[in-house]
Amino acid sequence: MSADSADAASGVEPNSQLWVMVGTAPLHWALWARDNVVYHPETGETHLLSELPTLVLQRVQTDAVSTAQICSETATACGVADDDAWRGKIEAIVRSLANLELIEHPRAAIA
Amino acid sequence: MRQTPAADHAARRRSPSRAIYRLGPFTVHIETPLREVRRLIAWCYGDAWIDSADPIVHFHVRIERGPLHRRVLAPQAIFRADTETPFAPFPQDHAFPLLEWGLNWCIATRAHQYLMLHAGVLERDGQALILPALPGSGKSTLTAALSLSGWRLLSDEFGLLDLRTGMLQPLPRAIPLKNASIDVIRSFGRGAADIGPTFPKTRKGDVAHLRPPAASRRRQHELARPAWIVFPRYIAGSPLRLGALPPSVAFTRLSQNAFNYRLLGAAGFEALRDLIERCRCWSADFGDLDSMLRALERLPPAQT
Repeated sequence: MSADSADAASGVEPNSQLWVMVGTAPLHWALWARDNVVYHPETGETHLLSELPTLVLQRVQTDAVSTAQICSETATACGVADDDAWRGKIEAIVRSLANLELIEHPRAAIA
Repeated sequence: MRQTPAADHAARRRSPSRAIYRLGPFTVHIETPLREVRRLIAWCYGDAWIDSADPIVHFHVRIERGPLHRRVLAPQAIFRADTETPFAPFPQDHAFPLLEWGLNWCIATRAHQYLMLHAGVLERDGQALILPALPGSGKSTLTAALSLSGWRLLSDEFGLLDLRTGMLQPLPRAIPLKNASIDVIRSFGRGAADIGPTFPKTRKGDVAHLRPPAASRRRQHELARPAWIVFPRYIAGSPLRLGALPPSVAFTRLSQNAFNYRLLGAAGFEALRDLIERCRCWSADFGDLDSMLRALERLPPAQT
């Protein structure tokens, strides 16, 4: 089930639903000046991430968090306004991370 | 005619059909009835390491004659590794390249105690240069030329990265020069005498092997510290273009280049990340061997 259909099925406001990491094994990071690389033991895949997706993924790694919270916190971290344009950008990143099976909604919420 | 045990032993020593060789970290038992293959093995790798004891052997390989009905008109050679026959038969006069490719197959499919990069690797002053590349990029030509220019040859094919120490393990073997590269290295001057016979029209074109320098073979157990990673690409007529590579790009290219990165999982990721962080990384397009060699001689020192 995709993230969007899970939101629709649950009847929860999409941006308030929580995101968590897929699996419990910790990610392996290679953090460099611009682009970063992350290894996800759960899928065995390696991903090349630019700064903003890295920031989003590291935030989800800390604890369960909603898209709205991610938008707000990353806007503050980057010193930009948490406006529609920003939220559109972050939502796209969140969708990409979910499609890569790095993050998901908590299993109980989906069920 | 029956031979005494002593006479039989002497005959085997003159031209043993089976022998054990040390190739870098691997002990290989090679068996073949083909005299020309045995002669080329000895020419490339020197005397057998042991031919009577029973040490632990990593790979048992055989080059056998093909089926009887082919032996008159189009004789064939078959490569076997233990119980496997990974390739279709080759023409018998391509038996030595078949053996070399077979050994590559054994290593690539089994030596997972290393992160295996598909790369030429050389060392100078204790610092190793890694040349990862796709086929046709000029890697073997460049590796051969460097090995004839004062660099120690670690390998033309495998960058064997020790997962525990992050050091590179030598595997000095014959360098298969292909097509125009054969004459390029022959005319290079210093290596002409070390190029073996040309095998025309193999599956990879004309192939001739440059045997590994004796000094590299003598130091085949001496590990080397990675210092530089250069992704070479030969483009006919191109001026030299040497560009620094961001670590993330170097990481991505190397992960796609390694034989067993995905198989090693997190251990492979950690090893590759540490390697990238210790090395300076470049891409290098070149159309002229001499200018490329000069550029590699001037590489700045590795990161500390």
